[in-house]
Amino acid sequence: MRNHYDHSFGGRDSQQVGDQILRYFEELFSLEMPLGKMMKMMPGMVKFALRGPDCRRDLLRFAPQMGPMIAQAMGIRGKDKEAGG
Amino acid sequence: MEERLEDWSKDFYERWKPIAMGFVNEAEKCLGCGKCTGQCPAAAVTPTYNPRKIIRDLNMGNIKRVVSSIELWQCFFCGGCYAACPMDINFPFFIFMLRLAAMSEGFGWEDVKRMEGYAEEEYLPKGITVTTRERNPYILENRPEIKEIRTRAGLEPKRKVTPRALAEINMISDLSGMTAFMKKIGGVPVYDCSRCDAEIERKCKEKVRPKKVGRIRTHDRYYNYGLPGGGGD
Repeated sequence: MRNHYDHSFGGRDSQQVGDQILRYFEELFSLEMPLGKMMKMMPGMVKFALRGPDCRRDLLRFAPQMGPMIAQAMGIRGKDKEAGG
Repeated sequence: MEERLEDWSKDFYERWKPIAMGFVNEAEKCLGCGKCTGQCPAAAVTPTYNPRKIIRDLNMGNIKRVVSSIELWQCFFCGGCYAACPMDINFPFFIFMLRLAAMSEGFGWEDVKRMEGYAEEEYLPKGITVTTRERNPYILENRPEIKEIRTRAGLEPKRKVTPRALAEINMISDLSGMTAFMKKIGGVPVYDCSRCDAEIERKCKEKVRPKKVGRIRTHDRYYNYGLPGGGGD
């Protein structure tokens, strides 16, 4: 088993492997939405919107939630937020 | 088995809990009663698969053993362990999260790669999560009562997914990045069981492991919890 471990983990102990895994999950569950990630979502949303009027209606219902996320991803900040920090 | 206690990451689970958004909870309450393992259908076929031991290793920080094990990939999410657990530990969530952890360390990609074929041929175009060809291709032909029960319940004899549901499935797949990801890792062919022969059977059982997935270098997994036929922990 030790040989397997050395081969697979390159001599790292569980502490180091655990730290690496935690970094992965921090990134995975991060609520930040980088622009690249946002852009990857666009074709999916466009495809869905093109399916029909009820799909467009549903998508628009999420606009209030999506607006700030898009603004954040594009680096657009409101005046109040800029003033606050 | 040669393992060193000082090699373990004792605070891993406590640090993981707040990051994992509630997906991993209450493993510390595990009594070690083994009810999860006793009722587990996967453990019945693969004796080395043991949810109790996986929880123990997670609690004690023996991370390398869990993520590099073949056993982690035996669960098929029936949820029986969760139902049987006296402490209400949602073990299938643990498996889900531990598999993500394993994948981030380069393990299990041969199984993930096999899913691509299903996603491309069954899930995304038809919305069917269990492939009708492989799991039990002759179910409707051999079990006519299923047709009858479905018809009596006002359903179509064969499961059908509405175009609207299909659009949602595809959008979720696109938005979550699954579609792009699946294309990136590439798949293996999904064979038609009704035309199975020795050659197809060989190819079907062969698991192809990609050498690299993005920046992650992949590795072989091992039976870390005993011998495949049982015994030898």
